Amino acid sequence: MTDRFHRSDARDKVTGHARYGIDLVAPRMLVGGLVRSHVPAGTVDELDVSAARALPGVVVVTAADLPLARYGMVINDQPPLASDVVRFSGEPLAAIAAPDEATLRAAIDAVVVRITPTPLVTDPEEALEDDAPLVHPELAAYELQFPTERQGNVCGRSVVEDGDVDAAFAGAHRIVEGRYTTPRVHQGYIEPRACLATARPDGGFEVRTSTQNPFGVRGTLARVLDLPESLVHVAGTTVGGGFGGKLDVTLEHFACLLARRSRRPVKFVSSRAEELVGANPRENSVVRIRSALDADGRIVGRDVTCLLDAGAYAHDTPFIGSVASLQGGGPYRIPAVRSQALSVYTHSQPTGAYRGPSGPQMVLAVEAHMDELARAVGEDPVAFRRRHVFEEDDRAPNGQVVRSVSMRECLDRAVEAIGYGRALPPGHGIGIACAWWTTTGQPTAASVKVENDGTLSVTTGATEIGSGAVASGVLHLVAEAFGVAPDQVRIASTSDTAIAPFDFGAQGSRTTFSVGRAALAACDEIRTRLLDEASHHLEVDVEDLRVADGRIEVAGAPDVSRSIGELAAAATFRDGPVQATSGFVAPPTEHDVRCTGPEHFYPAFNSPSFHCHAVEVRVDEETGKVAIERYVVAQDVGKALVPPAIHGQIQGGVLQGIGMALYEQQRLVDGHVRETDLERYKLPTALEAPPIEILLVERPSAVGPLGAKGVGEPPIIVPGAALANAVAAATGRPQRDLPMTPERILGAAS
Amino acid sequence: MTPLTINGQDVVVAADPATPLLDVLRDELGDLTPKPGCREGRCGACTVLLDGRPVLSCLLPIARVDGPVTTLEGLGDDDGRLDPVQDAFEAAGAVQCGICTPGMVLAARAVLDEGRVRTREELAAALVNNLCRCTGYTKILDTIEGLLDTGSRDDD
Amino acid sequence: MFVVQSSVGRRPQHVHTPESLPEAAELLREYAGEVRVAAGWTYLMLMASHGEALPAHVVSLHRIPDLDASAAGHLGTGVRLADLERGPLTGPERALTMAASVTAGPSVRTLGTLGGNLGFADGDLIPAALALDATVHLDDGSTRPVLDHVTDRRLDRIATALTWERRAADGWSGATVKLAHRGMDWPVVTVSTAIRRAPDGEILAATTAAQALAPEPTLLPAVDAVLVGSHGEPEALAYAAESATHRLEVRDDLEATAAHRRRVAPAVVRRALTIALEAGPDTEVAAREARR
Repeated sequence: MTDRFHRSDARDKVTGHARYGIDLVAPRMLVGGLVRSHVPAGTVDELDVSAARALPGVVVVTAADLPLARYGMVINDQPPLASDVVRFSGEPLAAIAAPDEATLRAAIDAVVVRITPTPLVTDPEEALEDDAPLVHPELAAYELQFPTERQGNVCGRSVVEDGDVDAAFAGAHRIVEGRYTTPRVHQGYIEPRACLATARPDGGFEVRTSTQNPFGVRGTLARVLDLPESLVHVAGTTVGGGFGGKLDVTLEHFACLLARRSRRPVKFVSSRAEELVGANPRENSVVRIRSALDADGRIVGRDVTCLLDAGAYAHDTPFIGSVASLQGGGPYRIPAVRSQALSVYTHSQPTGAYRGPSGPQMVLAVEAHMDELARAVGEDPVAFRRRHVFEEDDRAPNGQVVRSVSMRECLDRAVEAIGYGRALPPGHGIGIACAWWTTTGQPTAASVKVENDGTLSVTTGATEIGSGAVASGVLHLVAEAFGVAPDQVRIASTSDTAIAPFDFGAQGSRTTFSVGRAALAACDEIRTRLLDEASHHLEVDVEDLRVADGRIEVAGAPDVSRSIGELAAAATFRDGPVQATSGFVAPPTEHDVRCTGPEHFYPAFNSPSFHCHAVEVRVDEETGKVAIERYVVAQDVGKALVPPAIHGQIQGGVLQGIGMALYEQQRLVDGHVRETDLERYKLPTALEAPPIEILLVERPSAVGPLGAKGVGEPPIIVPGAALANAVAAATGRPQRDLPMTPERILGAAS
Repeated sequence: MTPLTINGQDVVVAADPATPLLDVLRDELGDLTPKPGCREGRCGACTVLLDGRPVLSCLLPIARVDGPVTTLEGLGDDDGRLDPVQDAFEAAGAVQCGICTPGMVLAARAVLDEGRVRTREELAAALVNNLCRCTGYTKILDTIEGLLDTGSRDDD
Repeated sequence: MFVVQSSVGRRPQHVHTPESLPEAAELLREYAGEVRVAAGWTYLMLMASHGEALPAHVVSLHRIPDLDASAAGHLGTGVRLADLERGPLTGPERALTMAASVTAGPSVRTLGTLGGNLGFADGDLIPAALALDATVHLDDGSTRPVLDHVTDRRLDRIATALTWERRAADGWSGATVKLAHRGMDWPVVTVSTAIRRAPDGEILAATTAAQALAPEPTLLPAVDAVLVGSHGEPEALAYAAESATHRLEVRDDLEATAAHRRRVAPAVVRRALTIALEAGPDTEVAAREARR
């Protein structure tokens, strides 16, 4: 669409004018902190905050001070502050505000906590055993926000089933199975979670926070604080990375409670250690996958069970489980599929959404298994995939008819670009992985107005979290609608619940897709008004006018024109200011409810995109280190709106995927997270970044703006699988567990 | 009281001598450009230049500051023109969420001024103390490499 | 454990910046028991942010002149890591240059010093100093071998210089190789070596040392014993490398298990020996060869 790349927020960021959550400051503000449990499971015998409360200027809140006992996204299982029971090491027991950090530290240290440990379960498979300790013995009594299965340590179960799976296995020529695991990983945003809350005289709150989803935060705050939503104003700051970890309330409720009690603004910032022990990392997973093959080596049946470790509280894991259940067949034509995902409680920090939730877990299992299937039938892995990939109008296991399909093209292009099939030096291996993904719809709105100087101004409740979805994607769409240069479009306001209508949040690769559609609809309305105004001025019929280069001109006589700024100014005084607001929600994607059940949270992949990653690695069998020699991404973006921004998303997402595949993990020892700082939790540095060749494929969506599909999440969901297949090819040993640390790679050899 | 020179200005700060430079810059001097990403010297969002060389201001007590300090606010000129590094980052899409940008731009400035880096791998090694989670580093490295090739001072 | 934002409450109250060694030594005497020395401060501040309380007094050495002198076989303890990594790429000193280039990251190396790095047990430069058979000089004029300096700390004295006798002209060649997960991580294992070769290729002497292989920095005499008398043949190097972990208590920590270290150490040793021997005293080796 454009080769003039522009981002409206880059200037502020590159000069240091951008203000993030960590930069929030208010006169007389107090600083907040949490008293956290050092016991992963236990009963609280004593919580004495009196010494802390006695310190000058200190305010303390405990569970006793809360209007609400428990809340949650699916199950109301989570107390904002633990009272009689703790369920993970790091669980908050008290929230404290103090005039300065030294006093805050002294107050935290002054709180007396005594906890008696109770039996612990930290492994999701163990949590399913009959004699496992129950994380929530009262599970049946909790209120539900949404219907969900709950039993023992299970807090969610999603099943997608199509065809006769049992018959397929009963009649199979051959059955292959595998078990794949992935680690718990942190989103790794460089700006820790931060917020500042001020209590208002009307009983409400002003909340500034580094968030991806101000409306989601508002909704949860309203519930936790027992207030109508209209009394809670949430305005997002510039966000220093979110990737799913800043989608709901994190610290804002503590800040509000303390702000009310102290009658001062209260600022909370997570320390990096708290990020690693008390945030919402990606669920670790265990996926068991079985395939039935016929005599021709075709997959005729598939049975998958994915265990997602929800941690101590269900949070959004049941939602994520339903996304997982859609992926059991991969982007392949398989006539009989049963794909289920279980969300399982353990005594560990609650897990949550992270870019492409459930994607890396399921794609690793499906794609590493595909290579093993190919080996089992004696076929090349690429040829094997070619026999199975979705074609246009194929049926997926949820019964949806897959449209705008480009899986074969993505596979072919990636395979060609990596030089698949050439002779490789010793220690080298090439791995391929395919995937498909969704573009989440959900509602949003955008307002566009024309200024007298001919610039356009956009307001939306959506959030720019750094991807460029709004600051570049929406901006370019609006610019193109009037033929103006991108720097003639301003993003006036984002992420403010008081100013703009509802937006579902920066998640699910949905922002440019949804806000773009809304903005284009608003541009259409404005165009109609301006054409009318021009027709009036130029005394020409609307049919004889065109919009070009920020002007409206007479077709065939381009010197006869007016700028859109002039026209807007004139129209203002005739009919009122020139502004339009349009809402958008993507139409639901049809699927077969017999396959998903009526209560499946995420029953279909909306405007699906297709992906193939191909990677060449060199494995050093003396040290176990994996070097990435070449990395190729073929991604179907529907329509490439702003290629440099798309490239940025792919480069960033791929490296996050590499991090999860090779370096990052959170391990529990006796229920405590081992990786409590950035020395132990290994985020990739510039030295770990490989060159990435990017091939953009365009198979337009019928719904997206100009045909665009969501682009942000898929780059992270494929690298683990591609690397596992590459390392397996290089070493001759299947890799079934991430991360593939040197220890694991060499350990598998002995 | 500790004297410091920040972006060419002499100041005297009241904070205790063991206070990290990061906190003095932000809390006492109101310069919010260096960011507290981890406070353990591992993310580099707090990077500033000391005598033109990169340091982690979260681990640097003001008592130890023995030379002029440059923060992001110290780049560019008084007529509002940006440093070529800033312009290049902006134009190339090397800025996404931007939280790493102040530290990364200063680290890049130091690399270019020192004039020793010759290869992309050396450049990546020179940025190993500056984490970025959004960009995957590619456009950042591309941008600085481009400045290495063409020279990065607009008076060249 | 769950530290609040900063190191507040655990920082030293008094920072002294003496301008001479006698003044510094006097401060160490005056505040004995509640004082530490600092040069680049990076390690101290990191400790504070991780919850360790620092002593009430810190003596910062950065104003003392002449601690950063550098000459053949002599380095002041005030020499910055950033300058060390630009040091000689030939001779036995190559081991120190290569080690400095893979110590922490560039922003730490700006202020981190030789003395600071030798002053804590996990210092990445220690094996190179051991390979040089170097001597640590203290402010009272006394000297000690590096190993003693590292294992038996003198909290009342200040290290002023590192010196060594080994020279390229006598046939000495050094190298360091560090295996780590990422570029600026603590090592899985770092190996430094200095090898002296006669003109006919016979290895006359060798000192090989490792960091992170054992709980403390350690010499690897088993490696040296195989090398000396050989001509550096591939079989000799392989056997020498395999000998590295013989009868050695191997470290187990968060970077790697002991089993993994045992498995990978020979490759790192062999690589360091190979670089030192192939380059010899006079051929430059790029510092980046230290990274494995």
